[in-house]
Amino acid sequence: MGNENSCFSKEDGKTRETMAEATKALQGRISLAHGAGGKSSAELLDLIFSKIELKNTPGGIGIDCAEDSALINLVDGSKTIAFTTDTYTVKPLFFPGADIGWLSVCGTVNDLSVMGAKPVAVSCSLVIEEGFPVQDLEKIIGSMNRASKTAGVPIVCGDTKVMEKGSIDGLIINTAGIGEVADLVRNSGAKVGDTVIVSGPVGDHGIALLSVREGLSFETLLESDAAPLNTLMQSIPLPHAAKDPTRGGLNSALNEIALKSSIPSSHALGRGIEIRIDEDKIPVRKEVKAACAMLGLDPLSVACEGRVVVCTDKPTETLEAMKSHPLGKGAQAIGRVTEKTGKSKAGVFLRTAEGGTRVLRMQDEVIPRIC
Amino acid sequence: MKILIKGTVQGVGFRPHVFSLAKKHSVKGFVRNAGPDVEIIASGSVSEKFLDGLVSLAPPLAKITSVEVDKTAFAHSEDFKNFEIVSSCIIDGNNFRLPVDSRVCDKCLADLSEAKNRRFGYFLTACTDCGPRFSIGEKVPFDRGNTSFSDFSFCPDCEKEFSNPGDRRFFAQTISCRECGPKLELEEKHGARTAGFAERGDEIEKIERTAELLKKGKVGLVKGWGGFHFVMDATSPNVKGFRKQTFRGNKPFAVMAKDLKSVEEFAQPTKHEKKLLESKKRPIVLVEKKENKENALSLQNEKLNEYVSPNLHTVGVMLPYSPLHYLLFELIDFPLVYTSANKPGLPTIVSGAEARELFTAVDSPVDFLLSDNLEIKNRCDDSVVRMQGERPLFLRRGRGNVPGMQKLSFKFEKTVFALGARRDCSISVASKGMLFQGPYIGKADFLEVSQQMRLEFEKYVSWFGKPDVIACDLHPQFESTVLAKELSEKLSVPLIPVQHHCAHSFSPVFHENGFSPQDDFVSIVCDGTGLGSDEVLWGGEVFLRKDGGFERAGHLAQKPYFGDASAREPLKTAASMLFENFGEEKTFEVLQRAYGKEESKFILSCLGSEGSATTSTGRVLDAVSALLGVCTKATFEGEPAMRLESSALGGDSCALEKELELEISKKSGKLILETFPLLDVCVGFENKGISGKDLAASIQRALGLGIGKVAREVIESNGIEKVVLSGGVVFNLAFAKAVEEGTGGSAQVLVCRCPGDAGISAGQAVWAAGLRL
Repeated sequence: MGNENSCFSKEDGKTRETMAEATKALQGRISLAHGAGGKSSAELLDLIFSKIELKNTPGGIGIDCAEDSALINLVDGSKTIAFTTDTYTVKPLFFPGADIGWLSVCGTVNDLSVMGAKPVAVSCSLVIEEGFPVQDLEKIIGSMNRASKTAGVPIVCGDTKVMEKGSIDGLIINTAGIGEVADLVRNSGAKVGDTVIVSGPVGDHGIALLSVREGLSFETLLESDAAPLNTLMQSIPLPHAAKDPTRGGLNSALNEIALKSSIPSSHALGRGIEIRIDEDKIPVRKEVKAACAMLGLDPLSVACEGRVVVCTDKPTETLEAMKSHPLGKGAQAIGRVTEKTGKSKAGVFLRTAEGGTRVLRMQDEVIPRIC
Repeated sequence: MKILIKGTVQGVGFRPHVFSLAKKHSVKGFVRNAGPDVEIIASGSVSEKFLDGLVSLAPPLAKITSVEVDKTAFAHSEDFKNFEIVSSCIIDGNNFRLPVDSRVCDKCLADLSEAKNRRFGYFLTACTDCGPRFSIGEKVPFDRGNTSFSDFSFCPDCEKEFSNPGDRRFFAQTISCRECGPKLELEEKHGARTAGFAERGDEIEKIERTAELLKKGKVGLVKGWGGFHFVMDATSPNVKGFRKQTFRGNKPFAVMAKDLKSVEEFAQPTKHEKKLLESKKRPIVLVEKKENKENALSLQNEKLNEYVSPNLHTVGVMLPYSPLHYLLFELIDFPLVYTSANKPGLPTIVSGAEARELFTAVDSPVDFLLSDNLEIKNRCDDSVVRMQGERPLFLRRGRGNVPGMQKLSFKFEKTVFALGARRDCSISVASKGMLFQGPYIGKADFLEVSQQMRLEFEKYVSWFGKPDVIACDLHPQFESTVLAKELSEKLSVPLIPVQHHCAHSFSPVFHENGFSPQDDFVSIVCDGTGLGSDEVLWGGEVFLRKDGGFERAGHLAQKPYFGDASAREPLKTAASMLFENFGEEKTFEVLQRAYGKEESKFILSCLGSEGSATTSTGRVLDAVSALLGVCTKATFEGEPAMRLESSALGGDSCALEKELELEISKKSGKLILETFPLLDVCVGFENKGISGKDLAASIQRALGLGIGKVAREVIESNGIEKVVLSGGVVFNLAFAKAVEEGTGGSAQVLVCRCPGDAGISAGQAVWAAGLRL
């Protein structure tokens, strides 16, 4: 019994993690899933980290900690510098509310800010495709300028390269940034009892992009939320943990915090933490909800570019400060950090409106489940 | 000699039966429980009448599967002086057997109704022929010490009954009385507690007070044998508010009525349904509501509040099964809402602590808590059955049917644990030639369900031994799949993901009909959606099992599908299925039926992008339901199609026979059934002079005939003799009938007994057990 070629069961004892995993494994090639910010991305990072031997500066925080920025202690011990870099390959280049230029400066400023660093300067490298319209380039540089001025962070150095038509698609921007650290905030610092707060509605950026790519028409124009968060971060009481949810959305950000905060070295008792969120408290715009429902996406896994999620023991002050800041008007407390209980390996739990609890896992794609 | 009797022979009064038979025929020796079986050792020879009587006079709850007589054993042993019941012995080998829970018998009912009887008004009156078994059994052998009654020692009177061979309750493991047994506890929200467990408060008073509260329209959380129930007057206007408070949407409540006469005041059960209602198993049976003369479609009746089973032509009803129910119905004259106490999709509450938590919650919808201190060892919801003529189809297997081990018709060596898919999840175990289908746990979306599955898994390991193989669904994101993967790694056993509709096809219907799943057959599976092996969401499938292979031979035409939004809002499903043929403008018009201009524009713009795809039968029926204006928003899973079925009742199903004959084409070696005409005909039907009712009935029939005909081609070209019909849509009787008709009559059609997702884990277990590993 049982046909060798049967597609109805897998007899090798392994189940597929995602729909595409079987194929990936066979071909040994990097797939788009590796860049999506979910599970496969984590695997790609592990591959890279395993091959770099000198991972950090003496006493500093380096590449394998996969924090938002690296930390470097200056030789004379006088200061700690945060250092980060990101490359922007977003398509389309122009989207409601922003463009690649604005995004590239904000993203790097944010990676510094959520470490508790005060961004000091950024660099900018452009790789431009031959034939790219100068008008568009001007617009993009203009956006970079606006972002730099809004954040108050100068663009102090850079590079430009032009590549033959067809060898890249349009434009890619890399930005790197340095900041001064006074008080450090790490992904791994969440403490039992902390309140989890998000600074505004999630999923705007990803859906705004999709709306252009897929030609969706919304009742009100949905704009990307991309914005520099440095002044917001500086206005709130120092949180225990902070992260800006980008690729992989709120889901990835919370899972990373939960995972890193549960590593034995990062807290005294070694039991680990869990993050428990109330679904009906998470701010999501109704357009984003509708789009996600229609397209089979989970709003919690859709990218943001101008939001921060923090774990803090000063929720009232934090919320007040956020709400008084132009970028934090939609701030909401969404859950708590609790001590790990039970046998589940998962770290983030969502209490649904009907009362059941769902496990929020890092995943590459959402497969429809209602049967 | 040694006689070994196997089957369900414990917890049924078998030992006292053997004892009295032995006394009658002067047999010397002893009887005992040995592992799951009953063992008799007798010196000398025994009369044929004794051996005969063991089986022919066996107590009513017993199910004997074999009697092995070994005349050489103990042939030269000392002569026993008399016949005794001796202590049970444990046997290695994890052979699990427990009887099902059976409703209180007439003799016990007489006891509790008789004023002078010791057990007058006692809520746990029981004997060897009735009472809770599976729900209170911890392990085998079935002795008091291995049940929840281990917490309660006999008082002298009960002890006397237990030890007296002449007493009806001789050797009855689960007896008790108000002196020594479990106690009722009644607590009211704004009132005093009516005596706790430790006190001897008057049991009858508590029941009387409960009846009073119910008469006032109050909602109770009441402990049953396998779990807690929400209970209230089913004719009360409070049903509406209660429904809202429990987030049930329009999901129907189950009803308990005093007797058949009471049922017939609001429903019209068939002959077969009546028989099932009155059986020992006392399941919930879906019966047709009594027609309201004015407007059949309004489906209202003052004998039952309209919010009990809204918008449907059926209502799930059961008759009383425990002494407590009978005592209550002596005091009230209305039917009761009697529905499992749990949030939709979550496990039923069984512990006092959980009940207390629900009762004392700030927004609790419950006014009083009636509980007892007999521990529920095994959660066991009520079984829910829909009769298809004479055949019972199970929506849910539970009290009265679980464990109900079935013998499988093929040989297999490994022990398989299967964890089901998502909806109505349960764990099934195939072991030592038998299949165990575990009771409903919950919807595998939730952590609570995963936690419960983990506990059940461990429990079943203690009953059946460790699995050699674990089976699960293909969908990687169900909690059941995640748990299955974790357990397979932990226990270092292979994990077999089984495609959803393959699992539906391999249900145990074979064994009940005497043929093996190794034989050739065709299966027709019609359900909502299940992940296919090509990443499409399947749901209208025809498979061919031939020469040991299993392949997809035909299916409904693939249509675009936009994920879970489509399931909840079937007009979106309709739009996505019509879009390709209709184009933007016409589809926009369709959407305008339920959505505003801007929203329709938005939905339309999404239809152009890439979503998933589906071959689902259920989604087609959902789409039709939305287009006919029957249901455009699902407040519970399956609602649009269920309401379509109700709206089609009495309609002319042959109204558009010619126009709705669906085309079957061949593509990539598979037969494809085009479904577009079924939706097309609905658009603008109001102006075509056809009634919605006739259209609904015709479409159901056309779809059923269509897929039946696809199967027919496969059956005839391969010389197949047996067809299995499975999947949740099969509960739609008109549809199922049409499918059978479409198959042409050359092959025997077997309808899966548990065609919905409640039967998935059993199918996974059967499939995996049969694989060459």
